[in-house]
Amino acid sequence: MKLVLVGLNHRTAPVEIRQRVAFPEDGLQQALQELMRSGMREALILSTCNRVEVLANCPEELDGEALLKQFLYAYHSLAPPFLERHLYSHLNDKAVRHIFRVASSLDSMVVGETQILGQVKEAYSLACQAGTVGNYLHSVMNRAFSVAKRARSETGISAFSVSISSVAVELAKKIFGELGGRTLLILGAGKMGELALKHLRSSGVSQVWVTNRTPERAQELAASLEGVAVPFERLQECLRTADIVISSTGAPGFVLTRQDVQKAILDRGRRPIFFIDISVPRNVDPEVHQIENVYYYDIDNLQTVSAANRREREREARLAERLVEEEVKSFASRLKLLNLAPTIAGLRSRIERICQEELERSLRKLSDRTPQHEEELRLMTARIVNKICHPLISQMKRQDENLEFQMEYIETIKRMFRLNSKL
Amino acid sequence: MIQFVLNIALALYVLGLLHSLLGFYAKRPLLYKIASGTVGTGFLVHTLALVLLWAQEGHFPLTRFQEALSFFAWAVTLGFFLSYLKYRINVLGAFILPLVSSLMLSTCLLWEERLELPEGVRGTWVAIHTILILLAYAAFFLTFVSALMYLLQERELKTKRPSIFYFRLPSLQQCEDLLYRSLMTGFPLMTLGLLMGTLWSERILGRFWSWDPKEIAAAATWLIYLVLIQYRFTQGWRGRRVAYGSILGFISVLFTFLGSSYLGGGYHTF
Repeated sequence: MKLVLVGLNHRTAPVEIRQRVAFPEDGLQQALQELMRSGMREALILSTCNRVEVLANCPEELDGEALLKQFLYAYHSLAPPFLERHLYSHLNDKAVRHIFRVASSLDSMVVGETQILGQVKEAYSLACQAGTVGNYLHSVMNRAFSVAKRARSETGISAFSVSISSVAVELAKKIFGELGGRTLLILGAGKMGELALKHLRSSGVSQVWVTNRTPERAQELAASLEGVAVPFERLQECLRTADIVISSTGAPGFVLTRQDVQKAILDRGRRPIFFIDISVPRNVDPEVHQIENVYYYDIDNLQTVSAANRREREREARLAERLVEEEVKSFASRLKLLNLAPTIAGLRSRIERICQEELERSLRKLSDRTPQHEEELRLMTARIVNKICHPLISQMKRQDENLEFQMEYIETIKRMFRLNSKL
Repeated sequence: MIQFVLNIALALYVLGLLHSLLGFYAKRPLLYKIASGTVGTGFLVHTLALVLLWAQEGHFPLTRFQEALSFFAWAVTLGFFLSYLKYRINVLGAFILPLVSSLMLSTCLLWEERLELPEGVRGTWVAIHTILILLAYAAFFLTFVSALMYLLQERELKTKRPSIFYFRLPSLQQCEDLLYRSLMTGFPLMTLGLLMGTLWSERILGRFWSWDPKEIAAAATWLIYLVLIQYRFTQGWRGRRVAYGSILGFISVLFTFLGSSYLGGGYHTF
């Protein structure tokens, strides 16, 4: 058996092509069945807006690559010359590496984005439902999930936010530590801020105040965020308590001047305050950033931080690549275990030798033995060898076991009987 | 024998330092784990050395300059572990261990056989005086390190161009927490230590105050921290100002501990 992968992604194909080749979710089951009819033992299809990949366990004697391509052409009724130049294909180790990288989000448009893992899991569970996943794909995919998990926890590929709203949250955390117990003031009820608000709200800010020139809109937004609407006239007073201020009013000029903030910072005993100004034109005088313990970021500043985070992620991605490489190697070497012949031969000869040695020792002690006795003892030893080996070996050969379990079992046998030196 | 044990502690500290610096650069949790493991072992070995020395000398081994260096290193490492347990700041090692390693290196280089002690330096009172003062210095070093981290992180946030420090250093809030905590640990320790010193001086020398250079420097250091704490609580000083004050305070500590002896004329052996 061999592992074959054929696909295209955002680097090899423009969006029009990707759309043509994408599989609608409700057609996926049927497509998988079709793949199985073309002779594959197992199959899985991953179809997202950035990539379409077909992964299959193909019998050794078939040309898997050609068959999978054929399947794509036929399924989407596309002419081969039109599609072929956008396709890539990988075999065995390379296919394993590719699927590991995809799951770890190293092959994504934005490295470290976390959606892809969910999509891969979804594709896997759909294939499981369709009954097209067996031992082999099962173990490949589960390993891919654990590699993705390792990549995320052991490297920083997903550690630093790249979206503007999560950058704002990250900055707030760099100032205040945990955000629990902090107060958020929303200045203006503009649409732009909503995503940032949701992010902040979900990261533990305990109190939300909303203030706006038109109180109705403030009330509305406050209700949707489980916050409190505050009259606009009390803005200065609010600054005494609020730790994070998001401004997104439609006002043409500064709503808060340097003097306002200067006064506020003294009123609040110099506790730090963080302004996020996402309105254009800006509503808070950028000069406030000069004041001690005041931090002011407008949309451009947030973008600069996001770019720096992106660079940091790319640095981390190199480490993640190394990690994937290690995993591919160890996985490939375990797959080799499935070549059973040397293990079986080793096991047999080991047990035979033990029994043979014991037999010879006993024979030496039995001085009055007859040839018939000796013959019977030899036969008995042979039977013991067979009876011990048989269940051990047939367990190794079982096809219906989980592959991980199977490999674990083979490794245990090899350790128990010290067979490693022979391989 | 003791020299040998001290050398092992030094080696472990240096190993921990290297892993901390690597961990800081590469941000690998594994490296931090190795670092805390080696430093932890180093600390135990160091403690063993202190116990052996105590047994050998028959009194707390804090009567010579080398012993003071070694005890200071030990106290700083203790502070490192306490604050690590409380705040889980991984990068702390990269800031603290350079001092620990160099103190230990000096200890090992300067180490020599037992010298005759001047009368009066032995005794429980003077030992407690020295222990308290050195523990206070260790706490002030933590204050200094948190001030440094605060200023670096604050600079990142103010320039709005995140670099290596932005990603690795803890939040401003955490730096401030550690700063106040260590400051408020160090100050009472120092106050108590100075008090012990003056009382001892009165008993042995018959006067509380001798205008010894170290006494003057220590008084100045104590005043700097007093003013800093005073401004913190009555004037609401925060952040950068407190950080600068803490750095000034620690420079004064260094001068008191290492510098003032060279002015001569004092009766402090170190």
